Amino acid sequence: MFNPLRIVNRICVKAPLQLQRFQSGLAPAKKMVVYEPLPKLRQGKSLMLYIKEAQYKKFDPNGTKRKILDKSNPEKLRSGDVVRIVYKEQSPVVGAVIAINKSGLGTSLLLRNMITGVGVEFHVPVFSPMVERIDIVRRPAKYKGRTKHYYIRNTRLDVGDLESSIGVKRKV
Amino acid sequence: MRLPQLLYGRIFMRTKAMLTSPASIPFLETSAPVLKKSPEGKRLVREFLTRPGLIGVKRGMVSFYNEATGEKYPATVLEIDQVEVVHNKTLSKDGYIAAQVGYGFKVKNQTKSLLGHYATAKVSPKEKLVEFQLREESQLLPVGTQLKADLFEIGQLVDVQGVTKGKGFAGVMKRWGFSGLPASHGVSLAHRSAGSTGQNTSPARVLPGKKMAGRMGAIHNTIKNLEVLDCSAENGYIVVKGHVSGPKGSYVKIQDAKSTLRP
Amino acid sequence: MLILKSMINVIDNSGAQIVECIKVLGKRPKGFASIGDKVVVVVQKAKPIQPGVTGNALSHRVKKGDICRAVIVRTKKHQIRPDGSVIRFDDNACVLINKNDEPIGTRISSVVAKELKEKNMNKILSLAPKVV
Repeated sequence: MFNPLRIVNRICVKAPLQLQRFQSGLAPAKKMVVYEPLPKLRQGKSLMLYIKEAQYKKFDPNGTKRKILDKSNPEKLRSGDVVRIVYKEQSPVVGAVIAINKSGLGTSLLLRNMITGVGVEFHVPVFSPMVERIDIVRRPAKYKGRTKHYYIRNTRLDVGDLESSIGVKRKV
Repeated sequence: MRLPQLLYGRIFMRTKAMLTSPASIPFLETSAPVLKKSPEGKRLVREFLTRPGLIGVKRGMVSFYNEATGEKYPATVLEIDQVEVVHNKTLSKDGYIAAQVGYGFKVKNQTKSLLGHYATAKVSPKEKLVEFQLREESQLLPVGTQLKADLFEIGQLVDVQGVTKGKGFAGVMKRWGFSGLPASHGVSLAHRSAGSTGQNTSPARVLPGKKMAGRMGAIHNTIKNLEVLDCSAENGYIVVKGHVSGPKGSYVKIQDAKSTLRP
Repeated sequence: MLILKSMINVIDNSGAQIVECIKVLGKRPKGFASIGDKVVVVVQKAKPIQPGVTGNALSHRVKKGDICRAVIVRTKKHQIRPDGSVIRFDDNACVLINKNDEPIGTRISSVVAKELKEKNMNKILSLAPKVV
């Protein structure tokens, strides 16, 4: 389980200056032996950065999910878009994005939809291994001036039955 | 047949009514019983580790997904860097058995005595030293052994000990979760007060252990039975499920969960 | 988070429209009901029973003041799922059941949560027009 004893090189570090002065008349100051440290891990890279990159590589190998959330991407996902979340096992979920909570690998979308006349909201973790991809189905003609659209709930601005409206569009 | 009786450390068998001279009673030397509260007695009762653990530094928290099931957990990242056995304490010399383990590399502001301590162990000067008490001396590792993050397997349970965040001088509502006094109905300037601290003439004092305002936090705390989600000896880290006491950058002790060591 | 005195919508065709929770069944540390939990309710608002409804059809109907059991199928309080996703609905809704956990009504009008599957409420899931 453990590594054998490692071979170390000796290097000498000077004793503190004051001590040398005090002992100048007497015996020479004793030099302390200091052993070299072990080699640096990850070439000195910050651990949290390393973990973040490793996790992105694992859970988003193509970079498609990162690209859709990237600020500099002109076709990025924005609040107001209608998206379809395609899962690996369960059936897909359709909803209008009313908020994007960005926190690295824990990033989630808040989707809202009307299903059989009842408002339903989902928080979908974007980087979950169960989420296969995110399709942007529809973009609004004009984006709202805010990124969090909580105020549309139960008002005339509220989202309608998105699944049926998208279904009609597809037939035409 | 009558069994021999133990009386004041002596064994003798009385077969018939007789006067026994004290000098004729044969002595049987028995070792003194182990007192419960002596260091040895305590060692018999106490739970010990079977191997030393690790020192880590809390670096932050991440979301962690289980690839197979898709479950999501909050997880804490602990860095394991240059962890080596610096010294072994033995029963004959120190009265207890422990492995002294060091973390990191630091030369500045080290005392000469500590530099000498590291030089005898042939390891580089450390930032932090902790001890792990063990039951037997055979469980100690040779001085200079490097302990890596793969000491723990993925899926095993660990106990993580850290120092909680200090909250300063806190009132009873924050420190002990008291309800405080009402917002109205004649209460003035005492809405966050503790109220009464006891009775009247009897006992005429506040009983010890009464929960009151005072310093909160900055105490040792052990979070038990955290699952190891990921570990890498090469890159020097352990990811445990859930949270760990203390701020980012604080040192934590990681060891095998004591619940798993019990038979 | 439904507790004593909570008013809950009813989404089956038992005739009840709004019921009031009078007891949360089962032991739970917080004492409130979430999706899949059973409660005892009293019918506060019900559709009048038509004079033509008789016999067997009458056993599927309830009227105002009746006390019966119900299972929660939607809550406003968000429900966290093991995969990290969260679901919440715009209203609190329940389906009336009898003592054998079978629905009293014969139809369910709107969406229900899939947490009911863990509680073996398969009859309700099969009747529901949509499960999310």
